[in-house]
Amino acid sequence: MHLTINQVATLLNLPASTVQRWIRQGNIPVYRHEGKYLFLEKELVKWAQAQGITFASKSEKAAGPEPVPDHSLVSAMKRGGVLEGVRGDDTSTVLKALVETAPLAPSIDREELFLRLLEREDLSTTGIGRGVAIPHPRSPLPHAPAEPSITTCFLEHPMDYNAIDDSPVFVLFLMLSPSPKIHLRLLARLSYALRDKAFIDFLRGSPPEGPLLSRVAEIETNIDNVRHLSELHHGS
Amino acid sequence: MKPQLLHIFRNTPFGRETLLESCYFCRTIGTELVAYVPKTSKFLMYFENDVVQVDLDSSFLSSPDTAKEHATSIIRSSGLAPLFFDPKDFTASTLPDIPTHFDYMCCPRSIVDLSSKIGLGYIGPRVRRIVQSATFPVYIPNPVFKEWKSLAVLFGGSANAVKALRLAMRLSRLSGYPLKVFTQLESDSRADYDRVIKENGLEDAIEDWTIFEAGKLKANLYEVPHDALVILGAYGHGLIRQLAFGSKMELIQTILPNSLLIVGPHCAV
Amino acid sequence: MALNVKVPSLRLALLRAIWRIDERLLLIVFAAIVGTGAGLAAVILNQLLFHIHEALKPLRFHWYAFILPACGAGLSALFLGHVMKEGAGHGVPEVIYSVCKRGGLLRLRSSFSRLISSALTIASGGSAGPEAPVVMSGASIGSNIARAFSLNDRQRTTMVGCGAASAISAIFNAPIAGIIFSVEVILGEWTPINLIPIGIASVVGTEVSRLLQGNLIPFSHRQFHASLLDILASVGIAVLAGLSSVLFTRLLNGTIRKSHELASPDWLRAALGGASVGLLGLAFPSVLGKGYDVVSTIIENHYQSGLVLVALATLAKIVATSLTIGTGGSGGIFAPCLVIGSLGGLAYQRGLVACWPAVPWAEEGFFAMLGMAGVMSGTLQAPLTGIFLIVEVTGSYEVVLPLILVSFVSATLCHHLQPVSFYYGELVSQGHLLRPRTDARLLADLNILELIEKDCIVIHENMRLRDMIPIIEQASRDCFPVEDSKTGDFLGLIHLNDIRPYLFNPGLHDAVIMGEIMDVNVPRVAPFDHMKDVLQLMDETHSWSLPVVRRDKFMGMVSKGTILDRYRKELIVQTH
Repeated sequence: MHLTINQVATLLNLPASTVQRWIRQGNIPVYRHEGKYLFLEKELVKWAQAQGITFASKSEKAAGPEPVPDHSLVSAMKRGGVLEGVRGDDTSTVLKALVETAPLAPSIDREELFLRLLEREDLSTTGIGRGVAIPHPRSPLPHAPAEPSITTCFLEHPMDYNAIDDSPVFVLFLMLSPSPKIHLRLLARLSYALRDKAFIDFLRGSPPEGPLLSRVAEIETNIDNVRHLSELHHGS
Repeated sequence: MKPQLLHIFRNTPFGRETLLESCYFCRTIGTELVAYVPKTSKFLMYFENDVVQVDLDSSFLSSPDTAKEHATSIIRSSGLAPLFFDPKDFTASTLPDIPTHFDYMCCPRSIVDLSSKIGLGYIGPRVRRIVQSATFPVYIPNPVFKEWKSLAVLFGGSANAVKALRLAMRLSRLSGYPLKVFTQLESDSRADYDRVIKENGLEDAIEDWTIFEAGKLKANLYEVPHDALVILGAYGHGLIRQLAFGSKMELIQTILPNSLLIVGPHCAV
Repeated sequence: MALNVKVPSLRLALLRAIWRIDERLLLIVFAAIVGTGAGLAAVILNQLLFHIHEALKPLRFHWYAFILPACGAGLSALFLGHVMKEGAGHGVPEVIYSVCKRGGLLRLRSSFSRLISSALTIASGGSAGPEAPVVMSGASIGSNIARAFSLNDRQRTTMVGCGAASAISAIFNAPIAGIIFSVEVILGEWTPINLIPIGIASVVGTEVSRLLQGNLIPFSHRQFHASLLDILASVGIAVLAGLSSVLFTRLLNGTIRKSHELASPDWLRAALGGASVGLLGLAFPSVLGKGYDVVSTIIENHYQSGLVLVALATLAKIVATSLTIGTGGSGGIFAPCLVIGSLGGLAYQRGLVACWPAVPWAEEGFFAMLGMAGVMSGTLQAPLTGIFLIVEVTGSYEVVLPLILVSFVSATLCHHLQPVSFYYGELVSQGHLLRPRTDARLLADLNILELIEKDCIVIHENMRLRDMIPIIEQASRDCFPVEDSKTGDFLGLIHLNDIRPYLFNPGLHDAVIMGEIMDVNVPRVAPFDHMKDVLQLMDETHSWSLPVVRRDKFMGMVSKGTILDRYRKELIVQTH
């Protein structure tokens, strides 16, 4: 397998000018062919190993560093589904009902999930105010599916959830994420959406899945646009 | 970083013309001009696999007290910022090293000049060696300043000629001047050239291509516009071949009075 | 297309196979070629010296003989300066400069120019040695052969070492000294890859010289019988040799400096120097030429003059050599070192005998030899070269113990009094002595353009703090260069730390403008600054990263983190 200077530079995580200098100085094994420099991957890997230089082999590099997950709120909410008219008198019963009825991946142990959710509520409430709670386990479940899910759950009557602003909770978003990074991303997006009072009012009407998702999608495009614009503006 | 052209300033009327040429070149394609006012009669240029000693004749060192002033005023009047290069490294105390990271270098046809050789007919051996080793194209200006308004590539089909063509396209884009391509058919057929152009994906970029099927190159060069900057690739011959047959670069520059931009075999275009 | 892919890979395989036979083997083959060339150069110079010397012999006995060195030096300077157009210099420092900084690239003309110029200088009576010129020639032959075969810097440098080793080996018929000199003085590194070719070149060079000139030990002599007392006394000669070396080095440097202040053309300067040497030679004929005959006479215990005359002759030789080389004559300091050392050693022995006549001191030759080793090691500050050269040129292994003692004491003393040797003086003062795998070398190899990081988000001076929040959200770095919104000039830097206190105060989000809070006095570096200076600036200003600014435009950042990463990689590949 032959590599060019630029490829080798990326694999060694060096600028091409350094690789060129190394060739000139004779610090790296290379062959000249018709006026061009070519490297042999096998030999280079051996060389890098002998020297103790990190060398991402070509196949690894092709996969790239862990691709930044592009999980949108909408897709997660779609996966989690929407429950309506869930009953319960306190946190524990509500969560129990939620866990039992939510459309979850079969790999998830519902009993364990329930215990984990309670455990998390004991640490501090997930009722973030304005009648919204976002129950979630403290760390990803052992057999969590690769895709995150958010189950939207409208309660039959608002109930006391021990929320931070003490207002009764009327909607819960059960968040299950495969990694803290994705969890944060979704949480950031969700709380951005919930900052909008109009959206909260919209939620109070227990909208069905279709309109809910399209409204969320609308908000999300807003977020993406803002980001995109700021990138354009600052030309990073 | 903005590309840079290195100009070795000669404080004589002839040197003024070449500096004006360089200034025009830089302004037209948006390059910075770095002037070197030599204080010693020689300097070294270390290339990747060669070291070239350039011996300047005494006219480069004449009236050193006014040299910098003259250069500054010429560069200023051309609307460029005057930048001067001061050598930091010395191989021996009277032998400064001139770096070779520039993007262009201006060489009079012969750096060691006997006035008879200023004009046409001769490219000095040093200039040729610089062309052979340099990673930058070498600009060989007119003896007398003349603005060029178009670009002409003499395309011979070699890898270097392709490089020259690419460079010419870039310069044409930068300067906004039209580009003409000229080819003299010798042993290869027209189809061969078409294939080379196609392989390099240049077929869309060439708009004006004149191919001389008959006649001698010498005569056909008349077609090259008088106000064109001529760009050509130099092929690295051995010394013996050069002595025996001369080179095409030599032939072309004896016939064409135009400014030349020569793309050497090690050029990174 | 399929064919096109296959052919190069086949050829590559072949190339690889050839290369596999190994870089080392290839280098050995080249080394043999270089060794032959450098050996021939040494023989040619020897013959030139011999014949010119013979031709001039009848003239030497006239009163006007002092003109000879003047003509020789003048012609030599003219030849170097105007025919060859070499920037005249001593030669060896130029080779070391090229090895340190230019991957061993040397001009082709250097491969023969010094042979002729030094032949003119030395054979006419100038006080200098033929070694530096041959080293220069040999090194240049090595460099140009490497260039013709497109070897890389590392290999080319080895070839330069091969040329130098072979030259010294051939001119002194001393193969080990050649190897040691090349490694100790020229290359400054000792690796299995470069040592083998250098050894081969040295053997080949010696053999070439032996085939053409016969296998002669330059200064053969009888066996010496040194007692314990003599070995103790050798400490004295070491000190004496060390002091002479320091005097020699300073006088040499001083003459170079002073003579350059004389504005006369270089050939006249050299001629004046030559004339002074010639006049000195009228009084002390032993100072003229390379002086091997003097050394031989002393080593064989045949030198006649008394203590005072010998001491004066030592000084005269030091002065004559400084005048010859310092004014622009062409030649080396090896042979003069030997002469100075042997005269000094002789004077020391005469002194000992005068003070303690009852003690059975060793012969004059013994102390002369120690003196040579001492002055050699001291002046070059290369004790190993001194030891091996003397052992080989005198063929006297039995005195190696006092030799080692004298060499190291003298070298240490000189190093203390005169930290850089004559060869390195100018290189060190300009920061060009970059030995492989040293900090200076690594930093010289790295440059800002290779280290620059461009992932900064540039902001404008008129931006409000509010606008910064989404930027900070995305930024991967904690500093933000600020540019003028009109001209695009770099104005200053904002560190996240600087704005953190205001960031969480929403009242300030619209009240603070970036231009007000940026750091305008931030130190900056230019793209062609030396890394050494960059790191020093970082240390002085306690910064972890600095903006790279070229003509008021921001280009990127350099940071200690990246420098460490690259520095380590550089060190790894250079140590290989």
